[in-house]
Amino acid sequence: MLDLAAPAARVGHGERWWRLAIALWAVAVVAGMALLWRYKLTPVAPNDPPSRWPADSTIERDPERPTLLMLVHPKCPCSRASLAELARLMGDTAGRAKAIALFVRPEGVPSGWEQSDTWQSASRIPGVVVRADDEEVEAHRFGATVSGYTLLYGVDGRLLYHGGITGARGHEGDNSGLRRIVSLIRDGHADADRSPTFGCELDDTGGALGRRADAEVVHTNH
Amino acid sequence: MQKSYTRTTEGKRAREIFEERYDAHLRRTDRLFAYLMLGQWAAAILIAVVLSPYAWRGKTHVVHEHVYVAVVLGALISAMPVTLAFVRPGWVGTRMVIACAQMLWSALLIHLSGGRIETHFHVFGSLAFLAFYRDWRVYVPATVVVAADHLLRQMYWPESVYGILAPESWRFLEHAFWVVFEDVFLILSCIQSVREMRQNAAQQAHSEFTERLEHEMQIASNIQTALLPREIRVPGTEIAAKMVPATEVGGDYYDVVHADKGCFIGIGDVAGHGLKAGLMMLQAQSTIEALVRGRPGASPRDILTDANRVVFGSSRGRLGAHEHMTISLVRYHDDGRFVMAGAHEEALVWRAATGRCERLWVGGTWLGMVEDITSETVEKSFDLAEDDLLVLYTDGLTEAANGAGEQLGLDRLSAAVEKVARAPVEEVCDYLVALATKWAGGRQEDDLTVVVLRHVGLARQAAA
Repeated sequence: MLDLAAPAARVGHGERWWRLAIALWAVAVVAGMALLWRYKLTPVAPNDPPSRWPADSTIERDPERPTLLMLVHPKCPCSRASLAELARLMGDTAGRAKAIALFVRPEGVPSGWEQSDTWQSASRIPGVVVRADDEEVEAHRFGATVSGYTLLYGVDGRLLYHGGITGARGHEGDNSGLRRIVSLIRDGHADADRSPTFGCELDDTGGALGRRADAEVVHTNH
Repeated sequence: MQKSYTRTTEGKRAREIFEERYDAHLRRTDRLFAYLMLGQWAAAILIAVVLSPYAWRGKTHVVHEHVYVAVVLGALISAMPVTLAFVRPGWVGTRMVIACAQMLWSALLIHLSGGRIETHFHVFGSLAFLAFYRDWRVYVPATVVVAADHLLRQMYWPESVYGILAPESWRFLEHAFWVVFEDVFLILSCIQSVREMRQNAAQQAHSEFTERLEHEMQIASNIQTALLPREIRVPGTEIAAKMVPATEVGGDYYDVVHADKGCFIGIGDVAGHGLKAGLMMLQAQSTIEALVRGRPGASPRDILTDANRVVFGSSRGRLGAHEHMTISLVRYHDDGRFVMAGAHEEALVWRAATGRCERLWVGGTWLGMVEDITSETVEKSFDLAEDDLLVLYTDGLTEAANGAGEQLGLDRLSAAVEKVARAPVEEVCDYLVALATKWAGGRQEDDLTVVVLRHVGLARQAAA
């Protein structure tokens, strides 16, 4: 067998201090990873969305099939994951729902501000209608506070689902929100009507929109 | 005992070579991973800055947490392994920390890339990189980190690793299987690599030993050759001699030592050949020369019996060796009288008057066999007329065998001497050596020595 003690013996004394330093390093790294997890898994609590499709909405709902609406902050890097999941969702549901990606354009920003790379990504998803939400009118109307917030309304205009379709902030991969929407579109039912939403806040007023909430609180609403 | 000592020393040298090379390899790999750690840190910052530079709130933005994570947590993960790689390279703790850090980098990069499935390949790539160490033990901490990560995710965030919220209990085993599957092959690869390193070290140690032995044998050979008499000039004679060792160091002996009105001529053969035989030959040579120079008037018998005591005492008594040698010592007087003692080969005396060879045998015993050979050692006197030859030789000449195993023999040697006896003594010498070599087909299995002496007489030599 290898005599691996030999090289160690040559480096001299002070091993005990190095072991202590390594232990402290391990604790610091674990703490850092835990903070990262906490950040990634902390959702934003949305306002209550309208239980029926708002009559004054300028967005046209499809009376023949469910209508899915995703609110997106054009600059939010985390929403790339939401759009990746939306693309997966569209593939899984094969045109059984109308999908609209609504890119908010806050008041005071120039026209075209919303034409970001995520806009381009959304435009490339088959079956998804991409449009801008000038001055966040529709976002307020649907009670959206966070980018990636997704609502599904039935053919009768009733709210079927609201929440995110990623498992963590900016993290791709199968998740409860995605499976619930797919299940609602395919089978007409799901185990819950909401999931936590992770992403950038749509509005910078700090008032009605954008309040961080503990993941635990949101999960109890399932 | 010698073989055992050599094996032990060679084995020790093989271990030294292996440990030296393995340590150097570990240090190199530590440095390689240190650079990889720094590279991964830079890549993480680049990924964060390019993919998620800012977090937004409406139309305002702040630096994204990913950037802080990449800079701070990335630095934290890399700091310890990089420090250890440069401060304590080669230490087992260094590579264990590096193994942990490498797997932590997989986790961090997966986070920073937004959980892209492609980034998960980093886990398996990292396991493969760790094989560079050729130390299977690095897979223990690496696998523990992966297992701990999976376990914690299964407990708190199952969909991030299994893709579903409530994975089956065996899902953990399925993921573990693929990691262990790769581990097994990489561990086998590490063990095999180390085995090959050990084999290479053993081969180098063997090569070094062989080279050193050859070098030492060459030195011994040079010493032995240097000690042979170079210009043999004894008044009243013409003498030529030639020794061809079978190996670098021969066990044959011949010498010509000047004495009052003549000389002593010695010829002998140590049992066997090689270094030990050569050493005994050197000892006998120096002893006899010292005795002859100290007592030039002594008889060959006295010289031999005294030399035997010295050789026996140092060979058996001090070295514990069991070598012995045949030897003949001839005292030549410049008037043509010879006195011969010792139990070596039969000497050949070629008579110029008849053109024929006579054989001369003197009984006795071997040198170095027993402490006292006085009673066994006898002397025989004979005379040579002018132009007569005395031919002394070792058994390498008469026992040279052809392909059929037939030896050259004394008859063929006598015939050859008779054929060339009138030629200069150097030519006679060369002819006899060439004859034996040709007879053996170029192969030489034993040391070969010939001494040819022609008695020319002082008067004739002075006239010439």
